[in-house]
Amino acid sequence: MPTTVPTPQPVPPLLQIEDLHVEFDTPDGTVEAVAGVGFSVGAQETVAVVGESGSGKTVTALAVLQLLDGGRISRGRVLWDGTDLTGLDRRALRRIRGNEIAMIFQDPMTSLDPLYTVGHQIVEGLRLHRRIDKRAARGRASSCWSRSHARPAPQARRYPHQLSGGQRQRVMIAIALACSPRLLIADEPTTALDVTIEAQILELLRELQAEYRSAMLLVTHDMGVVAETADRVVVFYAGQVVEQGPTAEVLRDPQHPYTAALLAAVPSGETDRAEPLAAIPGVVPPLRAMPSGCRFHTRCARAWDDCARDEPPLLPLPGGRSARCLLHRSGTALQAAAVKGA
Amino acid sequence: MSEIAVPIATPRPGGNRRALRLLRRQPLGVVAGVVVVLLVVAAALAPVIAPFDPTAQHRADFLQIPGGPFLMGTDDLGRDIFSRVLYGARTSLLVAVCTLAVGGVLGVAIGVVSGYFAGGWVDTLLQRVMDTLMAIPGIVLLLFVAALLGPSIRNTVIALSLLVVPSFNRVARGEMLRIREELYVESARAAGCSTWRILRRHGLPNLLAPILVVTSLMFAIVIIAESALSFLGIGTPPPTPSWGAMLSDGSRYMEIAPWMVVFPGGALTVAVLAFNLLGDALRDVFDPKQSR
Repeated sequence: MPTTVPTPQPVPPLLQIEDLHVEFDTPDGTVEAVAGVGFSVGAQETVAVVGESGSGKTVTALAVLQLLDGGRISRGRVLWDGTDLTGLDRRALRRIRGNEIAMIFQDPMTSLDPLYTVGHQIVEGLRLHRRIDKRAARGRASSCWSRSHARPAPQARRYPHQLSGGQRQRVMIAIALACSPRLLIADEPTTALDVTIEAQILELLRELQAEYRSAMLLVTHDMGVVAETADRVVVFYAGQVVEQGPTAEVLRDPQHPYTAALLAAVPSGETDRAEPLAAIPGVVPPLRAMPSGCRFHTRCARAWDDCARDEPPLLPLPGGRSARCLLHRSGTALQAAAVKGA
Repeated sequence: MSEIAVPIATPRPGGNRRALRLLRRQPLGVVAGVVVVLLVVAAALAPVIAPFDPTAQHRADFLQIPGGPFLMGTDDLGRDIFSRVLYGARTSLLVAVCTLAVGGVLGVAIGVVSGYFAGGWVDTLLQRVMDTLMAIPGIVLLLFVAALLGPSIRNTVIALSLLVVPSFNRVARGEMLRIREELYVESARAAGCSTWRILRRHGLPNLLAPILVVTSLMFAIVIIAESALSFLGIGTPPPTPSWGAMLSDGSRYMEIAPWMVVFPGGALTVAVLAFNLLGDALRDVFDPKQSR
């Protein structure tokens, strides 16, 4: 097979994460929650990061904004528009946070300060980054507000406890977009909401993202959300990227057994109700007891002897894709087929 | 149906209804609050209410029993006890307010910073100092400072401030530890707020309720402590009227002139009880989960 450039992009990406390692000190020693993650987000592109709980998705998202509490980046770079965010001082970081890169958290119930009205909280974010007076800020806030389809004026005077979860998430989105950030990081924005609201919020995010022309890094564990929203998908497993590529192709034809297993676990209309739901055997290995070789081999249906010995690199594949699996190592295809047949 | 863009004032429950509900739920607290207000008014208007100068000695009328022009009798030097009790409230409240202002601000500041940076060297340093302060018995600390600096209202305030700082610190630090983990603090950081701004805008306002409760309870402790210091002669120096000093003077005449101790002692008891009950009520109102 011809080897093409891994990610064919005409312009340098907005955000580029390179070989990111994040460590946490625990009473039992240091653990590495993120082990060499690398991917990029282009301007106005939506990239979804999927993976199980504890796979390092959220830690990676927080590492972009240097918001790791208790953790530290031990290696790697986070390039924002060519600047390495890991080397910036606090003042420079504050100018980027909320202004160029905004973040939405998982739980809208506690993301708002209970002591201030929601309208005030939108204005506060704006005034932090823009030299505008209160009146101008209010005007801008109310336009963000009405665009986020939350009910207008009367609701802006409400306190967070007076709003429903969906309404609060709309407020969070309005706050995040108030400064027209170039990148929006949404960390499982719909996990705490029920399914009908989830669809509305995702729709809203897509709409506003197009309107504000910002890129989005969407952290989720829901394949359905990925399919609906993302241009590209990055699959995480145990602190590593195991596969990445354009969403449609990855979902149609996964190149890593883990992605394939994840997709197989999603029930469809054709799923036989009498059959038990497909699941991946075993659990994610604990951070301090990673298996040797491929981190997934203990749970992989297609693993063979080599997998326990050789750690696979992220191998470039055609079509701007890549996968971290020995199946794609040149010369193993036959062997893999043999294993499959056995 | 179009959406109404006109701001609508959120209806608030009427003031009277709220007051009634509070009275039904916290009858003791409301009574205590009224007593505290009366105390403050009495202290503030002491020069107007008091029939005599509290330091004027009516030599001909010493140890008069209550009644006549001397509502609560006179002491051994012929001073009007009613006037002295009123002015004593002034001293007590003045010392308490100053102490809580100094000690409270200091304690809360230390606690908030410590709680936000919990686990760091700043926290460790500050908390070890607080531990040391707490390890010294209150009365020993007070005696030491008072003896070192000499008796005066200012020095009493300094001594008592040292006594209350750890209490405020403990509550503020605990609350800050909780607030620090709140998602709205992380959101604020992600929005580009500085640490100082987070502490000021999101930290402090969110811990005011428990601090208010502690303040009320500390009022009672400080009033007692001030009286104790004055009783021992190392607090408010004479002739400034102070309940503790009056008790001390009166103890020598207990058999022949019990009114010399009954009135200042009663005032002290009522004041302390009122502040304690108010504190309890405030705690129940702010945090229904903690009420017994």
